[in-house]
Amino acid sequence: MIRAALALVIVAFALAADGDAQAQVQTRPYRIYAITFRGMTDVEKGFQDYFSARRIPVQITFRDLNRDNTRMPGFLEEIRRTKPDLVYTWGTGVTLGVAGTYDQVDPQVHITDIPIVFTLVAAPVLAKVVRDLKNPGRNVTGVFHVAPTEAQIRAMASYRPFKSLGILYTPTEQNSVVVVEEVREVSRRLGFSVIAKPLKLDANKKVTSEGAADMVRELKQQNVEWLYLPPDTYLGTIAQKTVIPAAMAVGLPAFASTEQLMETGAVAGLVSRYHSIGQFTAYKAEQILVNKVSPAKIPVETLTRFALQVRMDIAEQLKLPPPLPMFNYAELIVPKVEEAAAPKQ
Amino acid sequence: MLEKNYLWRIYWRLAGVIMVCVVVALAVVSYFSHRVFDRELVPETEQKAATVGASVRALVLKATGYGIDFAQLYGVEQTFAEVFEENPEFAYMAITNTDGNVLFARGTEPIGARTHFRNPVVLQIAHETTDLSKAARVGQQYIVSMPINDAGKPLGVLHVGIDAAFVDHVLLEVLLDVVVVLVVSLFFTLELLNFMAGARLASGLGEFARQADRMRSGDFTATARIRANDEIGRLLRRIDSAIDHLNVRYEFLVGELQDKLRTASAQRREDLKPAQAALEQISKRLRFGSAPEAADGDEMNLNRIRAPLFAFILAEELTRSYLPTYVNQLIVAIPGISPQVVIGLPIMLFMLIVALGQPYLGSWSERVGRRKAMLVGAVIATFGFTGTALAYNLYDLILWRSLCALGYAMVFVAAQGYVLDRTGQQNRAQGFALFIGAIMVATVCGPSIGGILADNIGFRASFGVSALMALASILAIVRLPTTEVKLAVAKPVRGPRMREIMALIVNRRFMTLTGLAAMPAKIILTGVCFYLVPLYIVSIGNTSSMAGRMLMVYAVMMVLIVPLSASLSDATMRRDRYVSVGLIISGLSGLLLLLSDSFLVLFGVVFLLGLGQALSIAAQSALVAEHCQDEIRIYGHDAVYGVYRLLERLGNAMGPLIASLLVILWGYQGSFVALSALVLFCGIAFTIATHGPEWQPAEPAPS
Repeated sequence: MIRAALALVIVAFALAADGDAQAQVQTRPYRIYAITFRGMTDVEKGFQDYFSARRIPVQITFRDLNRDNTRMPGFLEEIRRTKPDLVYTWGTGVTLGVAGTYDQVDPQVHITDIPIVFTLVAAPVLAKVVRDLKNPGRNVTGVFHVAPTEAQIRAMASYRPFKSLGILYTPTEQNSVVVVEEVREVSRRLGFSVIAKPLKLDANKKVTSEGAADMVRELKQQNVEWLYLPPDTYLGTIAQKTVIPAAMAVGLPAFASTEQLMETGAVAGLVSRYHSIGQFTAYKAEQILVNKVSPAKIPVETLTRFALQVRMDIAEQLKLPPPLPMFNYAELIVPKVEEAAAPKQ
Repeated sequence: MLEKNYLWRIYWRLAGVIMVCVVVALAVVSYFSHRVFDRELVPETEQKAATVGASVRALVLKATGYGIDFAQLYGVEQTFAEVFEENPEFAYMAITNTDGNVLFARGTEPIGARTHFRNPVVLQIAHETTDLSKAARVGQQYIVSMPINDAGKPLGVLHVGIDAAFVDHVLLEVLLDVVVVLVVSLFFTLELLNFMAGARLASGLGEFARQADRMRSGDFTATARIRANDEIGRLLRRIDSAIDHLNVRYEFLVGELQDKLRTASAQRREDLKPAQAALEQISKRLRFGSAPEAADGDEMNLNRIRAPLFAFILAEELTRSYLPTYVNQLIVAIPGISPQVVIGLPIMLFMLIVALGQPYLGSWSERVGRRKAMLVGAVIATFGFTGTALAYNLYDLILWRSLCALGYAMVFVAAQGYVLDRTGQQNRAQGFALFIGAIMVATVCGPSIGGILADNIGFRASFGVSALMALASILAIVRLPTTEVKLAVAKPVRGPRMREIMALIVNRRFMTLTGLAAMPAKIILTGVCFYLVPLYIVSIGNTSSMAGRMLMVYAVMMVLIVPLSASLSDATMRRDRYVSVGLIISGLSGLLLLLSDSFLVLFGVVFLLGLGQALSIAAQSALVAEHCQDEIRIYGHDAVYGVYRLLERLGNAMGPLIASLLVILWGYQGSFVALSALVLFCGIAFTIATHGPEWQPAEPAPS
């Protein structure tokens, strides 16, 4: 009798233990459908590294728009067909394409029944991705990467104080328009002037780099003391070849808002590392997939620590050494000669 | 205490000798520690300059390591500014190049700096590769110079200038602290002497003096007293036995004469007439027999109250100079109430509990016995202080301070009752002089020492010291006589009833005295001394010791002037004038802050405040008896005074509240000014109100 009872207890225990182990070691990996805009970046690398470090089995399907929004409907259809556990979206454009703004969701087009995690959306609330950062209130949550605009402006001023700021931006990119507005708002409060020049659009309303170098020269003539590079994807592509050389030629220092823009040749920037952003995004994904928390309840956050990076070689070229106190806390970058030649994508 | 008695003079000479020894010893210690400090301070500061300079130098070398030209460094002055913020004793920083020319500088350049920088010895420093630093006095500063050397390549020299005035300032602070400790030690020695010898000596001498007086006046009645077993007591016992002997002889003589008269014949009686006459003469001049029950109270044990009272009040006074700052540390935001007001809450609550408790604790202490009441109070207060030291946040701090308040009220009232019990009409004033004297000495010593303690061992440990003092007072209370003295004539004291309170509040004469004089005086006292001074001093970056010194000035003014003004106002009988003048002077005190921004003005403020308070306080309560005769007739002496004291102490509680509200409106300096203006207004109003003929000094009615 007792032996039977004991056996029963042991079996029950074993079953329970087995169930426990099963929860930890998923036999079936989580399926993530990831849409990128311009191929693989450090963000995706960080995203994947997080899961492997945490030993969470994931199967990520990467789809790249390659800057072509016409591919989106095809991806959406594939999502509906394959029903992944989670959708990962890169940047504001992709996110809005998949989820839509919070006040204009079209269930025929947008994904409403699968959790969506976004990354590299510069201003989620202003872009209408979520209503409130703390309570997204929909099946979308994610990570934004840009330091608060005011913090960036103050970092710029701590390098060299300024009275006038110049910005180049892509008028068709939502992120950028929003950021320019934020800069204007900060300028009213802190008392400096802003001259923002939108890049030119061609006949098809697509942005071009035509005249960008001239615009930089005009800004210099209009006595701006800094050139601010907002988190603008198109700008990022023309920065290294067109914008930065023009700025360097007229001795105008540039301030970067993202790591990618830093690498194009800005003298300083308040950035978060893309790799860490990716890891943080994966953390949000883990909340949804493993801890089964609803995305509506997961706050949209950014990393709290930003790195003030200074390119010492650019500083030397511009003859603008960083102020002495900055040597204590800034990340001073001296790129090796070979690396400087190959631009990062 | 200062009877012009031969034995007393000897006591005071003895006490004087002991005090002189203490003063000399302390002075010697102070002098030598000052010397040592002086010798060590400058090198210590120079060492600090070298350390700070080394980190700045490391930063400069880091920058040049990235290829920035030494002379093209940017933002060096910013780094200097950051150093100045962290180290206020540095007044100047500069970097010179290998030619001795200043490249970057910030601060006040001392006279002769430029020439000093070009001195070959100084230039040579740039070539040093080790971590050395050289110090020199240049103008009003000590300049410490360090090499900026990039692995053998001399770049320049870093100079850090220490303000000599800062060093002097530190020395001054130490000196002031030492002086405070000296003064307080003197008072302590006095109290300790009194505790050990003086109390018994006073009572012994008093008894002896009374016995001698009695005998001088012809009173040879035998007293049934128990004498103490010290020298004076033994002397008194021998006098007692001599008196007994005399009594026996007298009795015998009277008896013998009466016997002879009874058995004598007429002729014999005539012969005995001279003897009879002589005996009658004697019995007219002298008295024999048994003494009536002494109705004069128990002076032998009266003095015993001084030590425990002093220790206990000191425990509370220690906290005055830093309690608001401590509350600020533990503050918890209460929605709807400004933090400024919240800081004042524990003080207000303390005053409120003391105000409301006193009327009722009087009768309680009478019932349970004064000694027991004091013990209970001191124990409660010890718990209160310990809790305050360990307090977690504002809420439990309020709880512990309430315990302190309860204990304080109990001890205060019981001690007062103790004095009342043991004094009769003749020596009541003396008894209270003793009582007030102990309290005043505690108010002189407490805040100053408390401030020094707080600066050196921290707030919590200082409250621990208060708890220890309260514990010490328990030990002294235990030595009080356990037998209670109940005077037959004493009526049971009770608290004022609501009916009486309401009736008196609307009484014009009473409220002129209470509302325009007594309450404003207390409001400005607690508002300035307990709330504004400690907080304001700390808010401008000064120390609790400085706050303690200011409160000490106030207490010293009170100690010096109150006896003077008390006797003067009694003599001239124009008590209302004293109250008016006192109020107006108090009212002018805070206005001094309009004249100057320097915090030294605060010394003037507390000086005037002390002067004003001292002038008015002695006369105020006597005014009530003088001018509220009708009310006293209707409601009784106790009730009227009870309500007066209650309202006066409510003024204590209102002080911090009003002060905190004024701080919210106009800041600290504005609060000083506004509070003083308020009291000035009340003082003027009081003067006008008491101008009429009905306020002329009336005949003092038998109370």
